[in-house]
Amino acid sequence: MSAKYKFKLGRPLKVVTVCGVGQGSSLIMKMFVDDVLKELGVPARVEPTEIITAKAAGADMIVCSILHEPELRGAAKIVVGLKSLVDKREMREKISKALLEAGWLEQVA
Amino acid sequence: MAESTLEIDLLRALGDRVLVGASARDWVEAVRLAGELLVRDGVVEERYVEAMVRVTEELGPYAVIAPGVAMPHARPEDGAREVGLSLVVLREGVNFGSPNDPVYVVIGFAAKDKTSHLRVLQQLAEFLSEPDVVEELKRIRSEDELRTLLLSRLRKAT
Repeated sequence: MSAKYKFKLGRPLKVVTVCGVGQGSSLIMKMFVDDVLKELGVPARVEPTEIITAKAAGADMIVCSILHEPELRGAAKIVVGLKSLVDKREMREKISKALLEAGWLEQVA
Repeated sequence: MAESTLEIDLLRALGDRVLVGASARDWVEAVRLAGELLVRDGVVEERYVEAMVRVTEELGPYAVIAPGVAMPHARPEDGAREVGLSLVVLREGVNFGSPNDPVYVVIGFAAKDKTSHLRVLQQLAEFLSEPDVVEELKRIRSEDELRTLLLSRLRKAT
């Protein structure tokens, strides 16, 4: 990864990863999302949870399966729906694109 | 944490609860195969298996976590006694109604709380994140071959 980014939010990003039960795939996603955000230089607090809690969490970003994306749309400024929950490349692409679009991340090189 | 210890976590959680070349008519049967391996070794109570099916029915095909791979699980209070995994490789894929169908690899999963299984999940996720892992698993013909594959992949990942 060659691109350099600058994080512009001014406080740690609040992220929830979401699955049906909140203890399996949401944990797997959390680990990869932690890695991806660290690589992007984004300070963040990432919590695994299930759908109901996620809706009320007041998160900046929700990361979930594409199956849950329609239901969660609107519950955070950024909702990232993933086809594969273990594909770090898909995560990195979708998360960095969403953060750039939100204006929370700026490409500097 | 030493690499050898990391490796043992996933392998210990899996034990010999492995079924290769299995057949299932549909996703329910596939989930039950994975669940029954957990019951056999006392990782879960019998009711956990039907809870795995019920949770998958209730919440939709979210259990399919990657192309060709499902990880059905129920809640700790559905009769999970300890942290444990099982792994079923199907000869022919079954559909869960997911964009990642057909599913060939079904990983049964149980945890007795929300934190004790973190390292196991982490290793499992690293293992599954390799793009060709489903193809590799479909080629496996014995538990020994699976163990070899797991060990080589986990070494590569760490």
